[in-house]
Amino acid sequence: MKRLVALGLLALFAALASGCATVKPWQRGTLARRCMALEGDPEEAVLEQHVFAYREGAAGAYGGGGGGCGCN
Amino acid sequence: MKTAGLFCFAAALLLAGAAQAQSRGATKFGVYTDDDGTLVLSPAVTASATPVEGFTVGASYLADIVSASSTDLVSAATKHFEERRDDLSGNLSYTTRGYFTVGGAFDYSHETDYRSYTPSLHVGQELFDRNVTLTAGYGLSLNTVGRSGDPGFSEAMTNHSVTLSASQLLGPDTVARLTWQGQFARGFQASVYRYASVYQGTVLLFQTPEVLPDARDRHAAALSVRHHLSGPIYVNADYRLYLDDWGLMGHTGGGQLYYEITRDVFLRLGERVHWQTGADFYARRYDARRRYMTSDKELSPLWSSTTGLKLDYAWRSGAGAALSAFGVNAKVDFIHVGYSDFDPLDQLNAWVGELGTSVTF
Repeated sequence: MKRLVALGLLALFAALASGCATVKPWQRGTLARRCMALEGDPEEAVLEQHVFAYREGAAGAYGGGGGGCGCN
Repeated sequence: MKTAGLFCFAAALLLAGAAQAQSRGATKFGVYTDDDGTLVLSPAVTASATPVEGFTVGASYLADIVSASSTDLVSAATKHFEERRDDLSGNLSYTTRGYFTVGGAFDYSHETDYRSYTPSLHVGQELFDRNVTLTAGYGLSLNTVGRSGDPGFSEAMTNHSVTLSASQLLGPDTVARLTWQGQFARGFQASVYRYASVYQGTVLLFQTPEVLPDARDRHAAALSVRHHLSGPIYVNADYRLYLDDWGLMGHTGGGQLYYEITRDVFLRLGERVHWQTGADFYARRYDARRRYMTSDKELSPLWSSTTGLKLDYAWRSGAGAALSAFGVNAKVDFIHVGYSDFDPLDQLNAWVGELGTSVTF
């Protein structure tokens, strides 16, 4: 488990370090398109993660959340 | 509770209207049905507003109206049940001109045999000319577990959730995000309606209430990459590794293809595959009473496939218009779950449908 945490922190550090390679504001036309939005539809994400949390033993790291899964 | 949800929704819209600021409202109606006898209707409404530059306030209401007679419940000698969960939340965040965000939220969830309070905090910072976004969040969920028809039964469960994420622009056409989430639950985590069975050979000796450990530490790490392939085609790929100290390990991978039909309309095709081992103490059939015992199929080894289609339309007006955007979307998912070590069921097929709308003023 500690190995996984360390791996995650290492990857975070790598992502941060690579921030030096920048995309300029005038190069972001494509990134602004709706199809490029990682957080596209927040309401869909909540319902989707709720379904998967109910049907699978694994959960987390995809956003969504909230209390009381209604699973008992 | 429903009245409270509508009140919050109206309050957020009025707040935005009074301040002549941008506000957004959205509705979603979800339907889940499967061949194990479960039907869930999930209406949801959310609203958010920016009354003062930098501040965003929001509220949401979600209900789950459940009608079920699934295998688990039949094994617990409960023929059929119907219940409703109401979930109400509010949030407030502030973003500085230096792209630092701090915010908090409060979520209240209630059903006849379960109550949950979840306050949470989050911070975020955009760095390197907004090429990198780092976020961190913490949530504390205080749960009270009850039992229908037994007002004297009450157990507590607390869950601490920590989330760290980093998003990085990898080029003018590519963005990636790495997320880690830890969840640390303490207290009563079993279902009061589920029973484990003890057999001698093929003969059922007795059934006993499910017993699960009081502590569970869960870790999940996910990587998502979104890329503009060419013309109207965009692709997304993601992978998640999940581990917990109950011995459950899961791998989840997915891919989506986005096709931009016009500037306002896109079609999304998606496939998601999940595979997991069972918990250490899970057994198809117990041959004697054990310290921990469960018949929860979600703690058994399983795999699942989700195939989906979504159509999304968004209209945007010109500058100065009262209504600045309107959207409508619909999606259908088909889920197939295969159980390799679960006696009452070897597979489950489910359909999920959603219809959503949004308006921005």
